[in-house]
Amino acid sequence: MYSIGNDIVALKAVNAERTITPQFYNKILAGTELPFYQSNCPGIPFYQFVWLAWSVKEAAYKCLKRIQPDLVFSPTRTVITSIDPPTVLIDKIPTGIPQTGIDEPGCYQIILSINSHTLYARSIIYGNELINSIVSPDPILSKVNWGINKTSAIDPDSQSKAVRKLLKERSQAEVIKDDVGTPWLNTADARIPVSLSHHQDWIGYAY
Amino acid sequence: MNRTEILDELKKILAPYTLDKEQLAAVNEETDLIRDLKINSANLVDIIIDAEEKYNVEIDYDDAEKMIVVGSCIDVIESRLKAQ
Repeated sequence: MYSIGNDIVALKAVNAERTITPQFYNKILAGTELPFYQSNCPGIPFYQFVWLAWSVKEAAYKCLKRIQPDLVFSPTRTVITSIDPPTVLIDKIPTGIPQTGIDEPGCYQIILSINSHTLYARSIIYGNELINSIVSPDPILSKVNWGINKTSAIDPDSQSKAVRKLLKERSQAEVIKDDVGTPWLNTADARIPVSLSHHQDWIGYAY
Repeated sequence: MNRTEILDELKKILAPYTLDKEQLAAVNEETDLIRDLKINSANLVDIIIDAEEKYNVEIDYDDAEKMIVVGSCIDVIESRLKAQ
């Protein structure tokens, strides 16, 4: 079954000082993941590495929960097994972000393992502003449709409406939720797995 | 410390992470942190660490993953306090 998960982290909303304490990052990182920071993530501060890990794990959980509704989110048991760093670091959010495919030079390409599943992630860190992650069971993410946008409101209900509005404008389709609360994009031809995310004043989607 | 006292203190820990003050005032053991209080999942680790500091306990990842519903949070804190 095809699935997808996304997550965004508004970096200005996180407590960077707290993030770099072992008490904090040991609740997110598995023991085998710490060495990836030194060897595979040059040029980013440690707190961003921790939130990069959080972001792909949260997106992986959302991706797999669609297939296993009883799945419990456990960051330290969602294990990053590989990180290929981007060839360029992106220092700010550009205008005209492509809405299809996420294999650009600014992407971290990450592989994760949850239980017996292998999942594939692409993440972009936009300077000190935002981390955007998308996870799929399919290693090829070149056909994924995605988007991020800044909103004026930070309350969850307004963000939820804003991300649905953005999706409607771009896909011409409505988001519906099934009996267990899983979101789908309801197009004229099919129901497509869609993942929605918001944090602070940012919203994002992927399908 | 009984469950009611833990719940009262837990409300204070949760307060900075939710904008829904009506739901916070009505918190009970069935309240779901994400679905009902609309707490962003990115704040869950902060809440666990705030609870650790408040009660001077250590909450490991096996316990932390249960802390999605208020009643489960109280279970974890209660068991950690008893283990001291």
